[in-house]
Amino acid sequence: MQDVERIANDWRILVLAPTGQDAALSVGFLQRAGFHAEACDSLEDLIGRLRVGCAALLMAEEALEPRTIQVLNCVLEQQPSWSDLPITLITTHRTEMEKVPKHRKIFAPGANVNVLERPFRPGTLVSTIEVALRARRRQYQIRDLLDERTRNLEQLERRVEERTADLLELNTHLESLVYTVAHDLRTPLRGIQGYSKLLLDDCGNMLDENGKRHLARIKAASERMDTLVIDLMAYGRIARSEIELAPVHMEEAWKAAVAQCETVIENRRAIVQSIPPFPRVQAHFPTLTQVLANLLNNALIFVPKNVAPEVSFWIEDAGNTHVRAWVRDNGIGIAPEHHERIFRLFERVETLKEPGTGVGLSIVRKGIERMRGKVGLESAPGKGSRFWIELPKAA
Amino acid sequence: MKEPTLVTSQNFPQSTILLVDDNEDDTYIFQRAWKAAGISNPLSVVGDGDQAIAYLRGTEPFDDRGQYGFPLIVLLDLNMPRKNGFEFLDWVRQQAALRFLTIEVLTSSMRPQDVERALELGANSFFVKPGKIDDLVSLLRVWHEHACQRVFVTLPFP
Repeated sequence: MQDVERIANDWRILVLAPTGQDAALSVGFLQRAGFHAEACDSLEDLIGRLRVGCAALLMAEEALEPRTIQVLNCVLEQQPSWSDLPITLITTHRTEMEKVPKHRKIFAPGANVNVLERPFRPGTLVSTIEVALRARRRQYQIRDLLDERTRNLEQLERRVEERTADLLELNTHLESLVYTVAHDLRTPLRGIQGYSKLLLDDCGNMLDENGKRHLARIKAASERMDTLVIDLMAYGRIARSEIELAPVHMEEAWKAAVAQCETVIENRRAIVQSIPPFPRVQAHFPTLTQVLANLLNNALIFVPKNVAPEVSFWIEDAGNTHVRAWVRDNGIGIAPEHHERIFRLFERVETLKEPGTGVGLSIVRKGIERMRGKVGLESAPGKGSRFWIELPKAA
Repeated sequence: MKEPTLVTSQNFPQSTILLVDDNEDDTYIFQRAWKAAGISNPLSVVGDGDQAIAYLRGTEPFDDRGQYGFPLIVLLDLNMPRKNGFEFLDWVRQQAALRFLTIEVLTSSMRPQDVERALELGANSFFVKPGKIDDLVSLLRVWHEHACQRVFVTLPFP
């Protein structure tokens, strides 16, 4: 029913004439010619019907008072983008002297006005109205296409929102699964570690060298697995925690990283130096500290046993907007073909006796990604490594 | 009005510590580390939140206060069957007479939300269980040294 009404409104021709009789005459004529026409008895009536729907306007010049014109122009300007309402204006005969057509003086420049000069034959009015309706049909087609596009876009947007929500939920679920698994893995591990230590303490004298060696291997393997699980949990934390970027003093983050690695630095008698100046960067302090600590830790442990590690840290400009922080070591170095691989989870290339877990550099990359920075390295076997991270300068 | 009791370094060594943890390997290793760290305080062990509540209330089988002394500090695991650590904390802080009871979380969880939730529910501190027994011994030494210097207030309960 609504649709029928809407279509009727869409295709009606509104007629505005100076007197009711004139209007009724025109309406009667148009209806006999097969059009759906409605007479408007005032400007307000016309505007009201116009807002509901209308295919074309037919108006007599005499009906146009200055106020009518003003209001009408205003309504025409507010048309939706697809609409260009056809107006047929019936005027009295003009003298040849008039250069500027009358409707140009009356309507705003954008209006779609066709002028019919009196006297005209009825057939002329019919064909004028037919042309107006043809134009209007095209406009309605565009309107329908636009409506369809809007509906599709809305549907698409809804679908994207739903998918995003699903993915977020799945992600949260997976991350909490990683945590639960890691947590549950650590519990039996503590048992294995603890009891092998107690066995060695309590019954060590009952075991021969072979037995002690096996026990030591059990203990070492379980300790290694514990480190792995802890690293995985750290990776999970970096990957999912809330990160807000703020100005950070690079030197403070580096000092915190050095403090984290103090035991290794002392054990390996390492020389760690930082070379000013240290500009401020846009970063997340705990994440940046973790990233630097992992880079420093790598610089300290991937060094031959008989060599004291030497690590330098400095910062230089990288264009106008970013800085590049370098961590250089005198370690075993990494062949260029492995430079991409080492950042992936669990990937390892080193051949040292005490291997890493293969998580440290993944934490570095994930942390840097989350702070919208970049990471890379320059290295070759036997030549040491120079890792760099790029971060935006603090505003 | 019941009188509060003050516990300082003088009477600390006689104070019972209650360990709440369901994992028997963990509690056995904990007891060994407790001895290895040279801590002389009596150590009681229960396996979940329900038992811990029964212990605090002194109901059976914990009705002998000579054997099951009222704890000065509760060392609490979070992940436990039946009543877990969070639920236990929640219960404790609803008991007026237990509002000064020191509860320190000792768990393998490093989840920031867990730390936050435990502290919000009124835990006094939060420790992560070390993997190595040697690390647990050194943690207990530092913990004990610090605990001896503290001043505690306990209210009679129930």
